[in-house]
Amino acid sequence: MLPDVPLTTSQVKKAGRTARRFMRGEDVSEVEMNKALEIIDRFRAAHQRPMVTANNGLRSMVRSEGCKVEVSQRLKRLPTILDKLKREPHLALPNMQDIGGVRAVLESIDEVRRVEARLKRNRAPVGYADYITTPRSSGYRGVHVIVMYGDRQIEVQLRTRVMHTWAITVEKLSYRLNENLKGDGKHAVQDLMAAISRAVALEESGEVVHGDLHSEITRLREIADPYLRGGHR
Amino acid sequence: MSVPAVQHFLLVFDRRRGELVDELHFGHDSKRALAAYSKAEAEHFDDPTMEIVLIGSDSIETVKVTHANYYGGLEAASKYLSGI
Repeated sequence: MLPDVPLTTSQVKKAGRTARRFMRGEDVSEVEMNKALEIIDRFRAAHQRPMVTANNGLRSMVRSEGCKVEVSQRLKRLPTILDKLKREPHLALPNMQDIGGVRAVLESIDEVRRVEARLKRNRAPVGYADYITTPRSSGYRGVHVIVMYGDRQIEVQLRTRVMHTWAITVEKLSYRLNENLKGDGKHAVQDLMAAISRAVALEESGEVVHGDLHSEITRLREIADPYLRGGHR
Repeated sequence: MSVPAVQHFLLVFDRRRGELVDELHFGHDSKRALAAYSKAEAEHFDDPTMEIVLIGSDSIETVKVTHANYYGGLEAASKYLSGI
């Protein structure tokens, strides 16, 4: 079982630094790394209760807005925490904002905006990213609101079903092709998914997908086809 | 009116086979779920093919939507996503 003694911020910072140094191949013993991993695990576990509160709160807000309640929480995977420490060398572990995450899948952009407004009225966000107005170059869309529950930051993701289906498709393609296609990149499948994201965004806003974009998707799909045929289904 | 209490589920997904190989239900027992999460991750620490994740929701049916990547995916929401 995980010890209940609270961790200090400096312990968590140090554990993040030690793990990063170990992954860089610097002079860190396995004993030191194991100790760091234990602290990272305990730090993550400290998000569980605040995340449950966030989950309950979000479900209540979604229901109050008259929307279908499809909400889940997830505690970030240890390998993903370590990857992020490696990828973002200046990020101190206590400042990682998505260790506890709650996701709502909603029916429309209008529903996303209504739940977002309610969430912001309920608690002042400490972080915010609107990937609906400005999608990631990968094509990822959704709204991320970072809210404090107790002394922990919890990331709330709001997506429409269309945005969610697009994101799940990218996840499943990553498994199938054994490549991380979730970030911004130039793989043929990423180019295709970015173009598809533009098309589905237009459809979702009731706009017409113009011929140029339609042709571009057809062209990119031909290029990506050998990859799309590969891997398991 | 309050919402139903969160239930905890530990999923073990084999990335190579694209299959969920284990789905453990812990009900409302958050502490036991957390301990099992840490243990399962430690057991598979050197095996990147196994994706282990702890999810909480009102039901496993909701998890199958919000985390459909570990299940059969979702029905294509647009003709552009169909067949991919």
